Amino acid sequence: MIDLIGAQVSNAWWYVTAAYTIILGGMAVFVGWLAFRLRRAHRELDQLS
Amino acid sequence: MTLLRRRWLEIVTIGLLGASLVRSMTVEADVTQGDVQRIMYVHVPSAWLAFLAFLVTMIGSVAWLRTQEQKWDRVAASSAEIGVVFTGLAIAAGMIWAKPVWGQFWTWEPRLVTTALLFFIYLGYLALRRAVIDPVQRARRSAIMGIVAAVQIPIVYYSVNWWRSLHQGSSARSIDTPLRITLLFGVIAFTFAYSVLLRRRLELARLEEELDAKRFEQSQAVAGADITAPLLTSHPHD
Repeated sequence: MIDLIGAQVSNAWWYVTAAYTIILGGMAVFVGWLAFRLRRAHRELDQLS
Repeated sequence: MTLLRRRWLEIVTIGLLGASLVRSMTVEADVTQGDVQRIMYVHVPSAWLAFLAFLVTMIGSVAWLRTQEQKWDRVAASSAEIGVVFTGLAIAAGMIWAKPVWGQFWTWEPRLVTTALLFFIYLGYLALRRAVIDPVQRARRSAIMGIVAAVQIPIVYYSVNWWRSLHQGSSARSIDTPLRITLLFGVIAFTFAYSVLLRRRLELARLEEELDAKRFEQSQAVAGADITAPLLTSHPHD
């Protein structure tokens, strides 16, 4: 019964787009943050040695 | 060619994620939930990835307690960070799905509450790691917490069976084959993504340890020059 509400949503694709943007965008941000920290660690190691 | 050999896992992962995205957008819509159900193809794999990551944290914690080898502490910490990120993403995507299907973004029902607890417990784990400076103490305390926190994983998973829950139970076996294949595809793609992220995060953990060791060496050298040397030269009994 609850599931039937979903089938009637007219703007379902807005919700789908929002969810995918958050998940894939979140993954991209995490990858970027990881890459930034890796680059910074390499740079700092170079400076210390 | 070298790039292909060095980055094959990243390339395969991007390909799988892309193919999974295309598949989840083009597969037939669910009969009852309509297009909103497509959110499941990223929500479920995110939750799966988080469970896997926390399980690896527990394995790393047990292994550290048994062997005291630093590499296991790195595995546990790196995996926990990835797990926290994907728990957050799974909660966010789930909330967006809940709005059209349940009529509200958030409701205080068992699966949601236990998942939120899981998120905060592992945030606490990461906070603990930042609070303890001594590497051995940090590894020991984190390992204990990494094992205790893992108790929450089956609680989240079985919460839909143990309590009266609004959240649906596992539907992997009951859904139609094309939808199930799409879901499985997403789970495989996210598992590959996890292995790529873990590899990179482990590399970062190694570098950070190296950095800490170098900084410690340098600070010792400075302390030795400033304090020890004047004391040795001005000893009263010489």
